[in-house]
Amino acid sequence: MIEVKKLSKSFQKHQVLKDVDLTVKKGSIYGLIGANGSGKTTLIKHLMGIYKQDAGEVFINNEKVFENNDIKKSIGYIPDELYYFPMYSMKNMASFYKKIYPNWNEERYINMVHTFELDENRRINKLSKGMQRQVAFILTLSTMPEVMILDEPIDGLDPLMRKKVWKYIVEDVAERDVSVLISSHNLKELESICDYVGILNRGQMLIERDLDELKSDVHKIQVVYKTEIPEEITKDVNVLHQEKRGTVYLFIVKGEQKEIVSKFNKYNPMILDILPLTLEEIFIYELGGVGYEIQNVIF
Amino acid sequence: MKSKMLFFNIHIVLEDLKRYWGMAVLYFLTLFFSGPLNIMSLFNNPNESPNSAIKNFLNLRHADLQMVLSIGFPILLAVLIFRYLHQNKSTTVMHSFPITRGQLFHSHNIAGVVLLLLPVVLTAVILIVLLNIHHDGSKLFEEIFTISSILKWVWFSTLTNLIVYVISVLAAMITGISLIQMILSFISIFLPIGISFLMIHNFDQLLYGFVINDRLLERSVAKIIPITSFMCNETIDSNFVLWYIFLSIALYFIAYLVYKKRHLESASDTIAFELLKPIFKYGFTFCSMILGGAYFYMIERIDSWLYIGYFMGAILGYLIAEMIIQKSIWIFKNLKGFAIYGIVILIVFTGIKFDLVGYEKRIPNIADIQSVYYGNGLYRYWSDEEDRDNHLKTAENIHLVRALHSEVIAHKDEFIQKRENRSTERIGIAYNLKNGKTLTREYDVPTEFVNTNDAISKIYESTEYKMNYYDIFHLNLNKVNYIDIDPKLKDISEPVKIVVSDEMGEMINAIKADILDETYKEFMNNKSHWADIHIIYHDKEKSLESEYRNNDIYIAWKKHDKHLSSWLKQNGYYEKSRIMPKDIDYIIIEKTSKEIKNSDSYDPMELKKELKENKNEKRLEIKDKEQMEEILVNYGVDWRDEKSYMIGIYYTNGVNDLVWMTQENAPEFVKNFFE
Repeated sequence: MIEVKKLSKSFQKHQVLKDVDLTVKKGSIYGLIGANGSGKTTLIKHLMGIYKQDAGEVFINNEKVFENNDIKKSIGYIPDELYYFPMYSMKNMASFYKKIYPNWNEERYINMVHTFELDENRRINKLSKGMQRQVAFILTLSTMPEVMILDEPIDGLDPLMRKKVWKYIVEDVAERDVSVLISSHNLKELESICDYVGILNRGQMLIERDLDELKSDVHKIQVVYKTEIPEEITKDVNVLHQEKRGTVYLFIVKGEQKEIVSKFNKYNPMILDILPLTLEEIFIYELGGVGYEIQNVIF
Repeated sequence: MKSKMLFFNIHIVLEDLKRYWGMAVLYFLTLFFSGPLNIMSLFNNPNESPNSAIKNFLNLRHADLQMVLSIGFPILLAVLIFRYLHQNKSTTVMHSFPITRGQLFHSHNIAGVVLLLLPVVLTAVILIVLLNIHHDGSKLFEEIFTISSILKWVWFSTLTNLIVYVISVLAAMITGISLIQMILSFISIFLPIGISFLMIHNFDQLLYGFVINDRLLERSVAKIIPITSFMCNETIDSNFVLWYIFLSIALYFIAYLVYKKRHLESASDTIAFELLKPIFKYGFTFCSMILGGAYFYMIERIDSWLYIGYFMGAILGYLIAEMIIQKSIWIFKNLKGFAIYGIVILIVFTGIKFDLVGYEKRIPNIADIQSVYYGNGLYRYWSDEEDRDNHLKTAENIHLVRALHSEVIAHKDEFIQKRENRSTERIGIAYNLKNGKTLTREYDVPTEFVNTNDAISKIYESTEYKMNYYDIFHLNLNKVNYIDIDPKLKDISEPVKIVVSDEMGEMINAIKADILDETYKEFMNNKSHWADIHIIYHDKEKSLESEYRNNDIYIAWKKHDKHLSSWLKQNGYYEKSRIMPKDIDYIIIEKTSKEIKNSDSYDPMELKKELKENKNEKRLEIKDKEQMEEILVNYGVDWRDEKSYMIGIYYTNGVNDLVWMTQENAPEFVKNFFE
């Protein structure tokens, strides 16, 4: 479990994080989304006890992280920029991790090396960027973490590898109740695996939501009426967005699905379809109304 | 469950050793090749002795290569070990491990110290093996090549390396750039001695009478850091060893605290702490300012240049410091700080110039004075090579030195103005006060002031001063081996050698009598000496260590030395001891041209040639022996004084000499001729 309370941080005079709150529940996957420079990496470095906050608190499993070895032993962290000791092979690195992390799982390590088809004895710095990312995954997952903090982890991985990686992570969450925080600037990428999403904008947490709740709460409805659309409808339901293409109306509506459908049905539509909404659309519509330029945030 | 916390992490130590052992090997090899290998080959070579090689290797002061290594290796090692702090990627990863900063710090340093120690210890082990193999009971193995001297070498080398290393570790914590770490460490090592050197040379220009005491620098400031101490001194006393131990522990502890406070996002920042930025900036500006002042003043010894130097140095230093901190060359909008700095410095300088602390005008009260010193500079005052006390204690002399001092202070402005285009002499004044303190001053005053000053001449003429000043009064007659009298022109005759002990005693007494009779005016006249007297004595009590000590006294036989002259005549040495008119073929005298009078750079060879060949000038040629004697008595050696007449002396053996004579010393017949 990760808990961040009112975290603030400035680099010299430039404020990077402002009163950020964040909660990752045990056994869930949390997607941290934000544009470049929104403060994701800085936030994550606080979660790892690397940076010292100016104000606020960071807890993992109810303990403060900063300089806390016991907590850090149970965190698997993949930074945005990878670093391995110069001249080291994966084997050397693994033997170092083995000594540092008490929960190291040798069996899993050997297994993963096998699955990812990597040469253990090659110098890591000679490997390609994507392969270096795989090494990071193998090492991190072999420490059997209780909490995983992954900063843009799948950047530079090919789709096949992404699949493998997601599989491991989802399995860990399912089997061992691992809490995961993944950052990305790409909402689509996280849509399929996250339970929660937080959007960080210019150092402030814009919104934090449970995805299932969100999805059951916002609906995209396509209707065609014989006549003009009855004006009452837009007053009856909470319309976030509406569009007209010929005779086809497109509504983004917030609320209970059944209730909304029954309200539309009252006026006998010729066609009524409920279309799937992407996470991106949900955010754009939900926040667009509040006046944020959400499009810039969640690409 | 809390796991057991050690203050270090053994795995980090081992990783460091694994990663940097190559550095230690390099250090060891350099030590090995310069020391043991060299000594080994000398032992095996029957024609050469290994003594000096061993001596030089084991004494850091003489081992230049080791000095360079002792600075370079620890700095480089600290740079490599703490390189991870200076890169964003590695900082992030290293601090994401379940290892606290304290553990990281101590672990890295344990590895660092091991890597520093091992090469030295290994070299020492090899030396001890060599010692045991070649030990033949000779003096070498008793005095120079001993176990204790090898252990001492290990101890001092380690101490030296350790402090440089810890300084560099602290620098690593302060900055976010490895290159800056390197530069900062290097500067810090030489900072104490550099700053004090610049400060005293600046005070010398700003404060009238300020004394530059380089010895004090070597003995105190240089010793703050062992490496500079070894550069200036033969040995280190135990108090300073304690200080070095304290210093390394203190610096280590500070570095540790700084690491704990460090914000890791400062990787790649020049200075990692906001608080240190102004200190760095203004410190840099200040150093650059005094360096600029010293440099400009050295080129042109004019006060206005000094201030131009200060300004140039300060602005340049400020801009460079700002550029380093901002890592940009566009810093010109940040000049407000410089203006504030300028105002503060202006106030301080005005304070110094108006002598607010009363430095320039301070003369101790007679009641407080124990003894005084007056001399040609303070060299003899500081010098401890003379075992005896050279201070003046009589009430008369104390009074005279105070009078002289106040006279110099009163003429300050006049003397400073004259200093630029007149010849000057340095005078040194010191007071030893009853409360144990001393007050020292040095002044450059016009030569004519020294020549004519009443107080100085009275001091000189006092018996106390002469007894202090001349070594001959402290000579034990029984220890004198022989005395040479050398009339300075070697080709004319062999030096006269006096070996009979009675004669030597009489002669030395005559010399003493002449010294006591000599007036200040005689002492200061420009006449050259008849001969150099060289008294050689033995001093067996002195140990081998100080073999370079002088065991002789040089003293001049002056033209006005009546006792000596008559003694030489009585004993038949007179004519052999000086140049006589009979040794001279002829003498040519010309009026000196203005050009030569004012310039120090004339070519004696050229002048000699001109004198011999150029017969167009008005010139006096002397062949009369009596006139020759008059010239011999009165000519002077070349110094910066007035040179009225240029004289060529042509000896019978074909050698010639170019000498000078002042208007004052010239005999009547010469004056008459040129009128």
